[in-house]
Amino acid sequence: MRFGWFSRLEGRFTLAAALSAGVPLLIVGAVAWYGLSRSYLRTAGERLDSEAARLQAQLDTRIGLIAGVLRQVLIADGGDDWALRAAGMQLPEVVQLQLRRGRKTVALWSRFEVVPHELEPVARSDVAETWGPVRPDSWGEPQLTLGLSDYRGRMLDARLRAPLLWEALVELHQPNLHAYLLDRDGRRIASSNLVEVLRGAGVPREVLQAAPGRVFRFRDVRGVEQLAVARSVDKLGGRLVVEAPVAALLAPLRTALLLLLATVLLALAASAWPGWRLARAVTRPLDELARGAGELERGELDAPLRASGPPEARSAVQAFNRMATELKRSHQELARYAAELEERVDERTEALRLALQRALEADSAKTRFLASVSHELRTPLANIKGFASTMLASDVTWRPQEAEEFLRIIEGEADRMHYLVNDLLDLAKGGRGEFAVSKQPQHPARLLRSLMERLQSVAAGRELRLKLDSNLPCLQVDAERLRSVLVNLVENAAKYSTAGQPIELSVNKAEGYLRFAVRDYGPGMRPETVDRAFQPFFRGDESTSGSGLGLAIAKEIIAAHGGDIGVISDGGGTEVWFTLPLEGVND
Amino acid sequence: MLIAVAACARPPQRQVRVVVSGSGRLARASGFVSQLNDYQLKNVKVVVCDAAGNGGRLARCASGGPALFVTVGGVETKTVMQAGGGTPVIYVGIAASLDWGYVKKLSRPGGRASGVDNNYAELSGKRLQLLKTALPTLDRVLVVYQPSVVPTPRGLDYLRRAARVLRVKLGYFPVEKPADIDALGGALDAGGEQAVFLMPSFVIENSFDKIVRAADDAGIPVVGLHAAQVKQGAFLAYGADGAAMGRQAARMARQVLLGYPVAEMPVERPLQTSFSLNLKVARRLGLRLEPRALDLAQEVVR
Repeated sequence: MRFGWFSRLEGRFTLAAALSAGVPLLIVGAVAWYGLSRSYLRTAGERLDSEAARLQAQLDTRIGLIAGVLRQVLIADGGDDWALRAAGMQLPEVVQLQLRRGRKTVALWSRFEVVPHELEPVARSDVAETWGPVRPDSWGEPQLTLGLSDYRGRMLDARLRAPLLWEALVELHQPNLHAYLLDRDGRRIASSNLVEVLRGAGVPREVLQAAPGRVFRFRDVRGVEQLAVARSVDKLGGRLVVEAPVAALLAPLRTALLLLLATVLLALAASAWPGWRLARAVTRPLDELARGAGELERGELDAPLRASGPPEARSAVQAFNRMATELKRSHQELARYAAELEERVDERTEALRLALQRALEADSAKTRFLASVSHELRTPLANIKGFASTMLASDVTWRPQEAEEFLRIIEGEADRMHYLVNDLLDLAKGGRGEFAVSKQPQHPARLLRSLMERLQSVAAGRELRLKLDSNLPCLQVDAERLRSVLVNLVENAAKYSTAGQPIELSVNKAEGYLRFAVRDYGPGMRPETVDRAFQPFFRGDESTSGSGLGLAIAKEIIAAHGGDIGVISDGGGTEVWFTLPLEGVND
Repeated sequence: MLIAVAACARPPQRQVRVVVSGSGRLARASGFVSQLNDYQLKNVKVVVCDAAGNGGRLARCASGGPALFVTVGGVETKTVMQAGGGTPVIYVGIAASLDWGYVKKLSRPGGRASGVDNNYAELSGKRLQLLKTALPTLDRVLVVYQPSVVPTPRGLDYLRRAARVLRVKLGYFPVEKPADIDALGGALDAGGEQAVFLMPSFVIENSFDKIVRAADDAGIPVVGLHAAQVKQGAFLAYGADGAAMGRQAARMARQVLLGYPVAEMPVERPLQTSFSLNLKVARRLGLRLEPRALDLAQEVVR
């Protein structure tokens, strides 16, 4: 923008400071200049008038002297021309003299000619002194014509070099003054500058019309302003003019004016500089703040702003820096909170997802559980009802052996229901944390030997290999519950492996616990089913028999003993293991 | 700052060179220099180059490029004008300005030269008349003149017309170089001449002392051109004073230096023409002087 700098604070402040210092000085200077110049010109006018009066007096005296000397010629007329010659030689203005008696010329004298021509008569018998018209000579010099007469009828005609009238006067008392003599027609006939006379320089109208003795101003033909005064020269019918250029008259003031201008300039500079510095001290921090705010807005503010200027401005910048630091810290904290919140939301979302999945799975498990329970209970009930109805049929008479067989079947189905209901009760107790075990000191090897026959039975012909560490310690266990766990595990191993493959039962001692493991060499479990192995009613293969409660109850039993249970399936078979803590039992 | 700028803008110094052919015209130069110095013009330096009668030196004085040439006579003006260039010339006292051809018109010269015409050619007849007035019995005069200088024909014309009116016989002694003066004594010894009448010429003016000695030896007076020659031994002179013409020319030079075009500056005639007599010479030579002639003289050497 063209005046952009002036629209800024330092521009306006600098200008205001400069003007506040310069304008009063300028006003004072202008008033002083006006007053002094008027006073100078008034005084100069008085000097001009004084000089004009002095020159007028000397000119009158000179003209009177010329007339007086020439009149002596008339008085001393002795019949020859010696007086005429002497007068002519004595007066340098005289060019030619002519002595007449009436119309008859009796003597002639010329400054240049040996035999001069007669002059045109000027003198009149009835007038003692006559100043005639001004005539130019062959050089262009104006010549005055004078005629004198006396009572005896003698007359003298004279031609005078007008410019020499000026030479007869004393020099002008002051330099720069210029004076000249005008004839009655306004032509210059004498001057302190002879060229003006010889070239017939024109005279301004103001000079010709000026009142005698009054100081006036005008512009000459060159356009230069002049201060002048005019005085009448009565005998010649003309006027004497003294003038001086106004600029020259005011020249003494010029130095003062220059000093004043220099002072104004210095004052402007001296005021503008500190004004600019002061304004800049304010605007620089503002610029810095604006820059910092912009960078802060764009997130590019890396370093604190530089504090400068007066204390108020420094305080503002420092406050900005503190605010920026605080904002930066808050921004970082907010970002961290946001990241944490996002992480927490992800965690919670995952937890909810898992909970939902579990709930869905639990719901599904419950559905399956109810279906399984219904199925497990309905099958023996159907058998019991069927055989009972068969025995009670009135149209059939059953033999005792047949009736006994039927009753045994009914008893077996009732036992099956009884065991199922007991299992369900155990599972429910375990879920409520009410699963009670009756721990008694037991030696694992002895417990396994007492159980071997049944284990061989549930192994269904598969080779059952026992691997026991030597010196196994006794355990505090509920022997009946531990047996049911082992039977269940061996039964599952036999169920999920093919005939001819062995089943290994191992007991190993570890630090603080005994590790029991049952391993088969069947196809193993799918990875996604390993984690669900201990869910109630879960069966790895739906085609197999069983309620799916065995491993779930086993987990409850082991947990009631303070141990852990798990499954390892590697594609080459499945190993189900559990641990039992060694606590306070001496072998 | 303004003062410093004004100082930096100061114009270079201008030279005014006053060209002088010899000692006979130094008075004009001194009058000019004195008056111009009185004007106290700024940045103007006045240099007087005196050739001391040497033509080669005069040519060197007329060379170069000063702001203004000031010439104190015809030969100086001629040398400067022939040197060419556009430098204005103010001459101090040459005779017959129009005859030289440097000025087209007295009121408007139109060239690069103007100055003060000494009127010596026009005053030749008047000088003879004043000589006849002072020495009424005089009837024969030897005119010493330089034929080759421009004003000579005009001056001789005025002189001859006056001589006819005054019934004075004129003898002629032409000179072209200072050595020609050596024969003046012989011419005067031949007898019959009652005065030696000098015409304007730089050779004659610069050999003035030799002429006076020859005339003194012959016992006859010398009629000079101006008052200074009367003081140096001439019996009578009528003409403009050299120093006064120098002062007059200084005023013209000042105007030229202030910017007035020299082509527009009218040629001026002397402001004063003075008649001088030397009574000591009259007494020494036993001249029968008309007493009333003393009333006509503005200056008398007693």
